[in-house]
Amino acid sequence: MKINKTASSGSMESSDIMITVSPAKEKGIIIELVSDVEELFGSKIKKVIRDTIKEFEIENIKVMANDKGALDYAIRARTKTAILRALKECSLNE
Amino acid sequence: MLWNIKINFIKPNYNDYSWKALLRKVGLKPEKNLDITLLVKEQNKLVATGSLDGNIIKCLAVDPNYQKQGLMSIVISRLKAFLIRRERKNYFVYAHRNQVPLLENLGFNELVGVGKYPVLLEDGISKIEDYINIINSKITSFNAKKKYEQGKIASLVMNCNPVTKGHSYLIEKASRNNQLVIIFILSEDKSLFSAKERRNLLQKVVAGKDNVIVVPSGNYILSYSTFPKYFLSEDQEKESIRLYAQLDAHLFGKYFARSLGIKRRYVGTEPNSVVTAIYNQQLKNILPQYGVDLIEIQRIEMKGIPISASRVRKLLKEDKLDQIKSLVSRTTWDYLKFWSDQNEDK
Repeated sequence: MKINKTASSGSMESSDIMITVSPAKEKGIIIELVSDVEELFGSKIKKVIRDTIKEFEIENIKVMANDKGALDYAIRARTKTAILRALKECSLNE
Repeated sequence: MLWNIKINFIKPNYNDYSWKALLRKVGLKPEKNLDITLLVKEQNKLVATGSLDGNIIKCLAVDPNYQKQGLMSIVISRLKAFLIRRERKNYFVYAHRNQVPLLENLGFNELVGVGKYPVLLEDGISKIEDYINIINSKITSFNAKKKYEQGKIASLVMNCNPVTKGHSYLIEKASRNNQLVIIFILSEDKSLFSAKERRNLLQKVVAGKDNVIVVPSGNYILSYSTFPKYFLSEDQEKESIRLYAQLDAHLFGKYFARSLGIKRRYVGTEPNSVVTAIYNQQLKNILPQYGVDLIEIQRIEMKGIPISASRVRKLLKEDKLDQIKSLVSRTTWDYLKFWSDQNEDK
């Protein structure tokens, strides 16, 4: 699948994560992560984001993630919502 | 912990006393020309706010008595989501020096700052480095075609609204004395002539010169984002013009001159506009810090009056088309005739 526009989901409030996805020119999943707990959980957070994207079979995507200590299910939900918003013209109350 | 907050987007109300008071508390002045304002209230008391002017976040404040409770994150998150929904590739914030660490923690990068205020920060999908890379590759492919040799690189930043013989004269001077001339033409669509019209006319004027390249100035040079006062003519407060001019000069030196190897910048002397005169002065003060010489060229005159685009626009307005002929090139003149016929019909 392919996304054609930029969309975001979540917030930078405590225990949340703000995910912004946009189409990338190069092939692959590029993740830029800023996190308060990057040292401890950086690779884990990226893995959760990557796995969620793979479920959608999207190949060219750039992700900006600003994490404030979100748990796995929150990261998954925010990533999914951002992708769905980027795929559809108008969906999911913003 | 705040339990009872209400968050609302409203149309800016410049007379709102509590809003103005909150801004003053954190050392900011209320601004005008805002599109939308976000208010965060705790039991009907305003505790945090932030506003948007295009893709710029301004008037950002959290009540000092309510700090360290995540209010800034709420404001920035909401404004960011709003901007992304409007397909903004990047966005800026004008902040007080004290707010910078917090904003950096929320994903912003400081571009440049002057004193305590304003500090300009940026975030988004496409940042200043990406823009400079685009310009750099344009210049590289231009050079490859023209067999350009190493030498001095000069630059001009022009609105060309519309392009006159004054512009041609400046370009001619720069072209003759430098290996390569980069003209940044303003991208902002806030002038009488559209960005596309201005660029097309300028392209025709420089068509014969094989060491002159025209590139868009984008979001970072004399744009509404970096120098709002340049476009808001009613706001002529000299001190704040000076601050924004300094900001713009530092941005040009720190990012554009350094990455593109620009050693000179040409400007025409400014007899009329207060804003441009202050701007030129600040360029002169600041650019040498980045190894760039500012070269001021005396404007050429026609019948004792300096040629300027503002003079052309004034004559257009007065419908004195015949008097414009000696001020502009043949192609521009043809276009202006066509343009004024079209606008007469409207």
